Amino acid sequence: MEEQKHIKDYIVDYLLEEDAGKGVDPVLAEWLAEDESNRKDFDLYKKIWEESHLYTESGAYDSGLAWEKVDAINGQKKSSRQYLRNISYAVSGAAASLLIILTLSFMGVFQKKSDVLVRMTADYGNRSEIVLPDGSLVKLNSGSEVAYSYDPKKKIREVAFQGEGFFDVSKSKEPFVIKTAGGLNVRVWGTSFNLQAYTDDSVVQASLVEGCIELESGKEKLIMKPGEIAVFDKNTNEIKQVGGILSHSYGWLDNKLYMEDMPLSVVCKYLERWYDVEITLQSGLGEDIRYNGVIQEETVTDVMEALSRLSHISYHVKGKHISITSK
Amino acid sequence: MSNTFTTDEKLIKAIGKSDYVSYNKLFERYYACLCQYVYSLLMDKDDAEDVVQDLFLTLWKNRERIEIRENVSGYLYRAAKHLALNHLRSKVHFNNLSESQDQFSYEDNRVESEEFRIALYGCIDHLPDRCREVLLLHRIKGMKQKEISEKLEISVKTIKNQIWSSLQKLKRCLELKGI
Repeated sequence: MEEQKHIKDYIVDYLLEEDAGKGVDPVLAEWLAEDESNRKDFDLYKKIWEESHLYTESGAYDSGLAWEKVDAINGQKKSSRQYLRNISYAVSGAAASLLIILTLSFMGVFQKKSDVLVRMTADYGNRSEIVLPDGSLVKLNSGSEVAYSYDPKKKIREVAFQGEGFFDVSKSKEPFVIKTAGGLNVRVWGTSFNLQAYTDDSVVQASLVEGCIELESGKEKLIMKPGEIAVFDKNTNEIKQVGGILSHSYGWLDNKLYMEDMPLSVVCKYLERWYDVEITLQSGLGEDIRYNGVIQEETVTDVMEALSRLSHISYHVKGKHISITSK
Repeated sequence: MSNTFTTDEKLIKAIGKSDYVSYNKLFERYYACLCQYVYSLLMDKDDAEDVVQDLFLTLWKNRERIEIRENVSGYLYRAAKHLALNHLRSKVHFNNLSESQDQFSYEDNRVESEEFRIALYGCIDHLPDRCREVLLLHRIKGMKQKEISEKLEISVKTIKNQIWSSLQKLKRCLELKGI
């Protein structure tokens, strides 16, 4: 008992005077050397001591007050959501069936994994953002889905993905692999990049902002460096680097669509996803009319108005349906 | 544990079905501890509260689309960490860049100690008031033994005894939590 009391004083003295730069007292050192468990206990006390430095009392945070704030903001959002929901009831049956087809065609990729931890979708006309369990952030463009799973045995972070997303992947020794439809896998080391991999597009495009990623499909492989853009052709299975302005590929984050010699048919595809509308084009028009420049408009009617000013087209809106004819 | 205790997993499920009461329960359960944790990353109480409120707002906004099948508290702490780092990043941009890089490598190295820290904070919360007061005056306010002894009108010997008893209690508490 006597000795135990003694040691306890040495330990407390050590902790209290540590900041003064005093070393370990010989008596304490001897006690530490005596037994492994002594050393373990001592290390734990030291850790408790160090870590308690940044503690704040939970009582210092008024969760009642905070709840009032959060509740008020949620209340505002609820009413705007309600409004949105009312609009979406008006969506035509055709658009709904399109979504179902899209979902079904993706069951293959998304249902294989039984150990999916987090899943997030952004429907047409919506965008969303998700923090994955490993801390990575994904911003989802309209009509996209991401499902994250983690294999503790293989220590792999795996993501099934379709659509378009901006990834900010957290650094970790554990590989982060994105699987897209069409057989392209993207291996990632802590980085940020834009990935466009819609099921109904024939190519997958990756634009690397920082870090390093590797595109892989069967034997084809390409390691990308920051600033590069690469595409994967689903039909030929070919991966190749392409030119272009990097920031344009994630212009959607700022609601911008950059068009470089972009045919009207492609512009319409973007608009259908972004605004959840259906566009019918007069035949032959889609490839003939091409655009250069950038559009950043709030509503789809504003966009159509801008396009009709840029080219010889006229448009007609009926609910969610837009038809485009030449002027 | 009382019979009315609902697991986090059940709460999250109910939240997914837009159950606002469950959302409120989860908020009550985690708000303060998440703030404690985020404070240890940002060292600013207001910022910590902003980050945690943001986290809960996002959770509600995305409730229908989000699906968490792993341990909910782990997810909340990690999401909070990510938001806190983002917050730090946006703040640091105003200062100089090399400083920010230092800060980040520092943050990255601390990953394993987080589970320990979160558990420890919970344990300190449950210390007897006197024990906690002595510990905090020394560790956080940086007061010397003599100053503490004058402030609380107790002897230096008592202070040391209090600290020792705190250490013992915290050790036991951490062991119970499996740390």
